[in-house]
Amino acid sequence: MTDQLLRVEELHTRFDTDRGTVHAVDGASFTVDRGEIVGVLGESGSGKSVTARSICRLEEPGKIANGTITFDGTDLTTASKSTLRQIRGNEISMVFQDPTETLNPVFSVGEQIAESVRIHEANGRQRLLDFLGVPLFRERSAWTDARDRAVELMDQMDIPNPESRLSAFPHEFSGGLRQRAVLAIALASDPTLLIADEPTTALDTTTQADILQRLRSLRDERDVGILLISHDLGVVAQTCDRVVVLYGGQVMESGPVNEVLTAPEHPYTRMLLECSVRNSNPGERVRSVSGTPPDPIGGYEACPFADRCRHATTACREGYIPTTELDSEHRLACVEAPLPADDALAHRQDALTPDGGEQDDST
Amino acid sequence: MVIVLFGVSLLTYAMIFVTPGDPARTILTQQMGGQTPSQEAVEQFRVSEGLDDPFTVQYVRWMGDVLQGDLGQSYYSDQPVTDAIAQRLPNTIILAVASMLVAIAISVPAGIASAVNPGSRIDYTAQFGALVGVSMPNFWLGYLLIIVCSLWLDVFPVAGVGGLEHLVLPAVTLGSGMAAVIARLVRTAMLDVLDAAYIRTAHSKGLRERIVIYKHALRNALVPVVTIVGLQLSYVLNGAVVVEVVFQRPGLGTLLVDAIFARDYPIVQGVTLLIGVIFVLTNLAVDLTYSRLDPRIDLGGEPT
Repeated sequence: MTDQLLRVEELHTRFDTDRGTVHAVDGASFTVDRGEIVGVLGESGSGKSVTARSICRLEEPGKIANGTITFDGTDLTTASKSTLRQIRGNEISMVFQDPTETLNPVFSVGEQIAESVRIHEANGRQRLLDFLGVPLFRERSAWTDARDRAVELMDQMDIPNPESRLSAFPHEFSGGLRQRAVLAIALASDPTLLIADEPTTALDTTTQADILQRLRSLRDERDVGILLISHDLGVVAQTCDRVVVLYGGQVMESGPVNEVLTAPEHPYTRMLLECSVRNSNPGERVRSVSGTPPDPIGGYEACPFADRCRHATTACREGYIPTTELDSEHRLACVEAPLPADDALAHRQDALTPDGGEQDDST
Repeated sequence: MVIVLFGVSLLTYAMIFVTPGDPARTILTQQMGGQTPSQEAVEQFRVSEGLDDPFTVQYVRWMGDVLQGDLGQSYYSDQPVTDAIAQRLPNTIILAVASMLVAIAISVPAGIASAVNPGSRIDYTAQFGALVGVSMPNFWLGYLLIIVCSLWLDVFPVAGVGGLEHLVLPAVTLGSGMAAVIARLVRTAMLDVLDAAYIRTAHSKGLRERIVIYKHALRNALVPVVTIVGLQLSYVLNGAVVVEVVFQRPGLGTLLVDAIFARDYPIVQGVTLLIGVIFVLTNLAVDLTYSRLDPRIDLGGEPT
């Protein structure tokens, strides 16, 4: 618990739709420290992305109904717009999932990186005409410097020939290059917290490995705290220090990666592990999970996973599920815990280790 | 493009050819101060102007002249058509540009304001305004403005050309209808763009809301808007005919209307052809603007 950067407590983010109120995030709590990568793991629809966006206060059209998000002493849920802008420009950066969509198609990549540099340096002073590039109002020397910095950043991100690519447009980049450009934009503000929402999902395996390596070196070299959202167990296992397992907008289990992913206590985490391709024996069918995440309209009275859980009892379907602390780090929201050792998980120990993340880190 | 222009010329020529009314008779009646012209005089006029020749002969003769930059002569004055057009064209162009500016100045901010606060009072007001603007006919709005601004308030002159003050009412009349169409379009395009992931990226950079909207969103929303603005130019030229008559502005519109009533075919043909040419050229300009606005649109046709 040293040097806590971000503390999310009892976060509730809701969306009003025609069919009712969707409780996308329903009381999630977790923390991120400096120099630590925390993974948020869950299926689609479990509230991962909304959690990420809520932290940046980009949850619209959703609304934060309850809870606090404390970043470096500031509560972001009550912070003013200009404070939020300052924090986004200087402290928290975000990388979103699909780099095809997250870069503005009509501006050159260099312009978009340089803009981020300018925002960071202008320190809250942003004039419309300057940013629009209106000739007499554009601060030319500042933009030239920002472009130089953009070249450096692109170079650091291993984008080949950064000078010549400065004026290239996003559609002229490959997927991997785009995501590197997005990272360059995110890092232009020299953030202390990086929120990466499925940063590698749209990428091929080689590029994925490279981007993840970059995240790890950010943690090690710049002491950046990283919140890595992923549905991919492998990515989390390889990259993260701690993991938060999210389901139905609630935290099911959280703790150090090597505990949670090797000895999961929550039936949902166990189920995710069983379904991982990595954990299957060759020649054997990969297990699939039956059912889909529940429709989170109206929120949950009890455990959101109860309907799919094979250990579910009436207690699971009724009333509040308390969070128990297995030790200071490892937390669990399940009334049935501790569970009997699951025979389906018998092969998990030997299956996760050969290829699993913990070893990657030490090499 | 050449084919399109050729088609335009053929159509205008053909349409006039089949229009009822005998130019020879009409013109001679007027020249003789209302007396019915003698049959010989009519025949003579037809022969001298080549009106008795078959359609193809007339068309080819006219087309040959047009290609040499000669649109013929007015039946009434001995003024060449090109001169008549050159005299009136600047007035119409000024009116068109001014009304475009009025339209853009009203519609873009209104459309953005609607899109940024959908469902708000601003949005409803703007949308209602757009509905009124679309529904209101030009000539009616023109007269209303004359009554209110010129006769009651006495701020602007009723009619004529001259300084900027003569331009205000016609430009507002013509621009407001267009503004309505463009404002709706800007609203739809902006709503679409504001949902895009790159807008979230722009916010997450810590950019001010205004810069996100006017830089990142507007630029993307402009692509469909430019198309319509380009197409609206034909509307301006149509509208100019009416508005110029209402405000008694000597422009292409009044020239055309007068020529039609007088069966002054060379002028009608010349003006129509010119409008066709302007229309085709505008579309070309729109296509060229596209690739400036959106780098993904490559005129070479490279897939994105």
